[in-house]
Amino acid sequence: MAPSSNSRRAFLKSTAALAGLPLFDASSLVAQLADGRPLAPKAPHFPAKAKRVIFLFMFGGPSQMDLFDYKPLLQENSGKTISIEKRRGDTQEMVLLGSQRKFRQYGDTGQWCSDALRYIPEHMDKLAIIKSLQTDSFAHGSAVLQLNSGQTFQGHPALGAWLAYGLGSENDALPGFVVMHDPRGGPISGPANWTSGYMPASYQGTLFRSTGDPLLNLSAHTNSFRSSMNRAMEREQIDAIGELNARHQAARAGHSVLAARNATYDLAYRMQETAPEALDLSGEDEATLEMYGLNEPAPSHRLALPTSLFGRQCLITRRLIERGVRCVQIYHGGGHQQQTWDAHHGVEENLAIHCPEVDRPIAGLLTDLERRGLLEETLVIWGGEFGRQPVSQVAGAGQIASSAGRDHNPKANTIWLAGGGVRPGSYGETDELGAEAAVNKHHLRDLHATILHLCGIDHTRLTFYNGGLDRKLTGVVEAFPIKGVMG
Amino acid sequence: MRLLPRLLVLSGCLLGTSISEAQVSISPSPGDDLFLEEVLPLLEERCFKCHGPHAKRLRGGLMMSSHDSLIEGGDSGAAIVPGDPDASLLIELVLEADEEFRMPPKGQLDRSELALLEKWIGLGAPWPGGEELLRDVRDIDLDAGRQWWSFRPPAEPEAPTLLSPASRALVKNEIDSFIFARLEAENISPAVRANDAQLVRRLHFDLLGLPPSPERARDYAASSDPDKWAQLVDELLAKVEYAERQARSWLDVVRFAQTSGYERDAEKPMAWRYRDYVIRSFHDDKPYDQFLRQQLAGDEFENPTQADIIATGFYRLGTWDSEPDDRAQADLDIHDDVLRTISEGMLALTIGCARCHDHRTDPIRQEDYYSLLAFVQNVAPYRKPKFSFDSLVLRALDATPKHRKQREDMRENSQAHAQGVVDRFAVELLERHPEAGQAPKEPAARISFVSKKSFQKRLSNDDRLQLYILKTEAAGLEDSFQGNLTWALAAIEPGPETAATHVLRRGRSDSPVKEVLPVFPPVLCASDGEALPSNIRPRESSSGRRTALAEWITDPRHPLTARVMVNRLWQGHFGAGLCETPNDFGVTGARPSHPQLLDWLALRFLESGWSIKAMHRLILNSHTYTMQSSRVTPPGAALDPANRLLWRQNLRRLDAESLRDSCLAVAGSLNKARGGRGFFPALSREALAGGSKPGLGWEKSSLEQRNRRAVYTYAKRGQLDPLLEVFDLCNPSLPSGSRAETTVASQALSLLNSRLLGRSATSLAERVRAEFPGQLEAQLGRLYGLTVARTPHVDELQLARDFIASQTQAFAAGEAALVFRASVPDRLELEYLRLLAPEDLFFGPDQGWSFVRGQWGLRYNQTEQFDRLSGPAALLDESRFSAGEVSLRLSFLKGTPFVGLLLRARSEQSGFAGLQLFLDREAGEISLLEHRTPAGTPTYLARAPLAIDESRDLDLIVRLEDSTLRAWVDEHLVIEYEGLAPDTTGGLGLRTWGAGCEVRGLVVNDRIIPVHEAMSAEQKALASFALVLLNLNEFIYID
Repeated sequence: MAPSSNSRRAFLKSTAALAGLPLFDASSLVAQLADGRPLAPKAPHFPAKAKRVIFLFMFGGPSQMDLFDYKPLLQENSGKTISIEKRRGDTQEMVLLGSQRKFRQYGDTGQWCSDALRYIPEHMDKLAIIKSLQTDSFAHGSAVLQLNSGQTFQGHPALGAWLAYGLGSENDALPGFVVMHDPRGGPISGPANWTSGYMPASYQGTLFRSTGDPLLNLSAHTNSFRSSMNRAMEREQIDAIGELNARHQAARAGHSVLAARNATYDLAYRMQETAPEALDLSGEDEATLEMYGLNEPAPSHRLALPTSLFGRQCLITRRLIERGVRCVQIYHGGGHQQQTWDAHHGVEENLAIHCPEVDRPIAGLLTDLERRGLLEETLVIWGGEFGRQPVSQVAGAGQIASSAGRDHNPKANTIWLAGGGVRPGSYGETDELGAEAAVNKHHLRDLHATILHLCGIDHTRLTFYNGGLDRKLTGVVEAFPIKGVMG
Repeated sequence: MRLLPRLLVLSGCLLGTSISEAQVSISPSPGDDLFLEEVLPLLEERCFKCHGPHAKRLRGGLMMSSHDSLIEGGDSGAAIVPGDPDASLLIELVLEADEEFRMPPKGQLDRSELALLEKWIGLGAPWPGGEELLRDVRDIDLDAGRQWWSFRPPAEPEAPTLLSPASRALVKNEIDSFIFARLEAENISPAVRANDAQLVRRLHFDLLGLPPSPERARDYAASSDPDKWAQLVDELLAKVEYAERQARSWLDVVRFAQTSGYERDAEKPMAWRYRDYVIRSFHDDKPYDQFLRQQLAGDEFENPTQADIIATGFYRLGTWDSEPDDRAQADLDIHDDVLRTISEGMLALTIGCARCHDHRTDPIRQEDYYSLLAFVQNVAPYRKPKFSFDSLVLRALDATPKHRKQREDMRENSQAHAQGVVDRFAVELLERHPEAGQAPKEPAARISFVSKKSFQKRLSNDDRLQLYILKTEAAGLEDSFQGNLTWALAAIEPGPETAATHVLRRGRSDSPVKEVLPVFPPVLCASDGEALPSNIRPRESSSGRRTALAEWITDPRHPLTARVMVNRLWQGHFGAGLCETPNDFGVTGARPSHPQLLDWLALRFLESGWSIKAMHRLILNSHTYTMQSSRVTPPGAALDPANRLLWRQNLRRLDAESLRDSCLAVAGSLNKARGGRGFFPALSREALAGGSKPGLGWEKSSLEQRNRRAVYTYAKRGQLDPLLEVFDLCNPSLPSGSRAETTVASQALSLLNSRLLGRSATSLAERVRAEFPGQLEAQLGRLYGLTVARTPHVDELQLARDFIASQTQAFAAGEAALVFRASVPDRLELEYLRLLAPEDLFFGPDQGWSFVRGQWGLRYNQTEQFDRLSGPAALLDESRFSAGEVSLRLSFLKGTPFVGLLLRARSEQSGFAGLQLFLDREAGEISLLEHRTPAGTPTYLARAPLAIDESRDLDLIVRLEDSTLRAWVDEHLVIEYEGLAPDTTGGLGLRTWGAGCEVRGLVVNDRIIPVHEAMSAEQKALASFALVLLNLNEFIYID
């Protein structure tokens, strides 16, 4: 058998680096990979509370100063013209756009939230709202890639892939890294956002649908004769494969990969039950469905979706987490502009479309995780690829249209964490207008280091050899976990 | 199992001697690293404006350009106390509460930045490189570096002498001597030769990526010609299939794809010509040095051929961000990407690591990176390609000066023509909608009139789409008009002059440090003097630098080029290279298991005039290649379980493409058509849904096209074929030297359930039925021959017979159903939507029903969404039904949102009109709708609550009289409506979406509507067994 050179390299280095001697470590994740079990569970570097991660990706970049980053001075000065560096090296005279939302403080942590959200603030004392994150790119494509993979370039493994690689999966009948989409479409750059990059494909995000067949090829293509086979016939077929494989294997003792591959058929057969079972909400009581917003009335805006869609995804997420999936990422917002949080063409309209879609479902998810005792071992991440500008994108001097929008802002982004090992409370600040992170500012890579740290992973030690170096999620520049948000 | 041999521990490091032997003293202290990576950039960014070497006015008398100058300090005294951050003024000022005195004056340092400074000062404030902070430097001893195994030119090794007569008897050529001598040292015997059947299969997959025909395997086994092996090698090497397979490995190395990636993932037009060029080159056994020279500098040849230009498409293969944050930086990234591909692909050198600082492990300075970059930096960076003579990306290969005028004429004509086409359609629309009022007479104004929202809302879905497409095409003509010319993506330089190349601090385009000239990395040259190119001769339209680069890389004395390629070829035949990191022969790479053999092969490669086929012959005619792989026996199993010493051949899994192609080949479906833009695999609804504009840039290919080899798949970075991806297709964004080999359950699901496998198993079964009608045993024998190149054993035959009998019975017992479902996601990109026929949008029975596209709308950003009430539908052929009774049993499948039963339905304007009984699971109601026109909003005639439980079937009965409709669900009357327009006639139809529904027992006025079954139970059972064979380890692994 010839395992990939990548894996062997990583094996050599990791073992040699750990002890110098011996050069053999049967528990090495690479040994498992070579044996065909790339997703076998692995111990973290140090004990940690968070065992699983839920990443609620608000695609498009939510407007922080209309949600969590309360800027009274901005509201007071709304309509005034200022000089602002929007894109790097491009300073323009623009009109300040104060939030039209009303803000108030919630809970013991006293964190601010606007009236665009009604349910999420009830959980304020669970959230660590980081308001001082900065990212490198002004453009969606590269910024989304960076929030997912740490790099603005395509081809690097996503956070979920790193987690699946570093920790494996607790349920081999489900993927280790699951991705769900907004029904309006995927995020731009598509699969590059959940790729395993230079790692084996088994770590890449698996698209999981919230209706119908959750996984690709879980049941036979309708055109195939196999679609008219029942479970017993499928079992008979898999048994035939197993029996013939066993004969083949008998003459090839010592090639463990053959047994490993044979075993995937039983696993696949089980997956056909476990995966749809995660979608089956018939065992959930009415109060739970209500809590996730599954009974909310249909929205009136033509681009808005019923709350039940994201609610259903959140509820399925809890079910997947319960079943040991390592990382679930849900994209909210799909397609372009007002189909996403990308509020160029009207902040108010954007909030009116998207807040009701996610508010109850996310609050419901937090409640549900907590009451089931899952929250303390589940890290929940909420946020988008960048923040937005304090100025109006399209308006003449001194006037603000009701449809005023905001452009991208990589210099000030708000992302919150909740659950596993997180210390609730507001962290970091932007300047008085919310234009740029000012206090406790952190590059996105520090957030990645923090997420890994909360999962028990030292971001400097989780590496994968490629192109001449041991690559890390956080890249070559040194990153520091944000101590202020860790309990 | 164990990955690494105990041998490693017992007898020293097998994979090479330790790093220290190479005498490259390189590892900086952790403090140095911290300084170079983090502290220096921070000082530069936040302090140097006022305290750096280029400060306009030095503030406070403090210069921060070195360790010493910090200690010397400024007006307020020493800035740092090494080892004691708390006593350091620098830290004090950063922490200062008073903004007036705090440093830096603008923008407080964040906590991590402060922590960084404290940590650095705590470590003694190391400042490697002293005053010279112009580069991120490391002390590199080039002479010592030149001693690294791969940087020394290959030396002719002495052929080892073998002691054991048993080994000597097995030797076929020198390769065996090297391999066996190493084995002798460990007291392991080489394995015996595999049997003929195994060898024929192995060689076919290795060289062609396709299985042998049973006839060829039989003939080979029957032949007693002592030379038959060498003849088979020659025979297969001569085939085009060989070149197609070999090309694929090279395409991995150069990260070939036909789109740019990122948000738009737009096509790189004509990129396929490069793929075809690579296939042609392998087929012709083009000398490898010429192959590289063409790609690096074909355009600078005297009188370049078309192939010479096409080859330079090499420079255009990478990803490209059409909307970068910083254009100058992005352009630099493009050059960097090319340089990395050259250095990793051709030289197995990870020079990209030296972009921001000196290479951490290899003896390559940051300056060397930029000096090498200078050779390629004059190639114009990629831009949105335009088919014009002044393009710096596309070149017309057959253009003559005369063409310029002709082309202008043609372009003008075709644009005028296109405008005419749009206008004619506008006129047609205006005629159809006289109610819209008076329209302008002038064509341009007329077009803008029909484009207005107020007019658009009058149009049917099809008309709107048509108008949109016509306008888009007319507008795009400027850039996309190719004329009658042959275009290729090519490396084009703006002219012979070159812009200066600078070492860039941290690789940033905006921080040049010092200018460099084109110089080869000195460590790869015998002396520093040889690193200076002597032969740069500017051409009329290019700098000539790339020719110098190509000549250096293909110089037979180059230590890396030949070694790297023979290692790749070796890897192709054993699963792993002699050096296991084919793209990294540096310090972080693996050490070769047989360094002398690698040198010996490299020298033979050069001797043969860089002949790739000669190298294959040499390797394939060794005993080592032909050793058996299946038996894992002591002592090798214990001493070298990973088989690095090659005491047997490796058992290997088919790569993604071979697996897919083999399924088509054994099914008799493989289409051998060569070359061209490529085909688009059929994508399921699920696979399409992942894009932000589902279907953007995707097209529809015929089944015949889709049956071509995988190498001709249209290579779209954002939409890889899921079947290939799950079997470890490499990511086409980065250079890849080897594929991963994973074993996961989703592979089993793909091989059982994907469309291609279902189709292949069916065709395979039909093929053997046609060849041996009615003779099951012969059919089974043929199935085994085709899939695993042998005859079945008696008990295998018995198992097959029992299986088929049982499955036949089960298939026959199943109740057939009419199946309906969506074939596409809810939203589709307009151009893709236009390409699809109604039957591509909506799936239903393949006989007796026809399909309508239905309404699509809610246009947003070039996408449209299916209409829930009037979207795609299937209409039952020849079913005049205006009165009487319809009954059916309906199963909602998982998550199906609704089912609509169409009555008195007529197909009109690609939609339908008539009545619809709409069972809405999501809303929990049943309603009766009247569609007066296909495009208009239907009217609700009646509605009633109806809870629909997916887990059980519904019995639906509809009775229709002239003006009355009654509907029963599970014998409850749910809808009763009087007042239908009596004169409507039409037929029966069905609509659904998502996972869809199954319909059983459809009866229309006592006539049973048959479920047409394309295959009998016997046929399905045989296909089911064929699918078993395609899933076997024996099919998927090569002995």
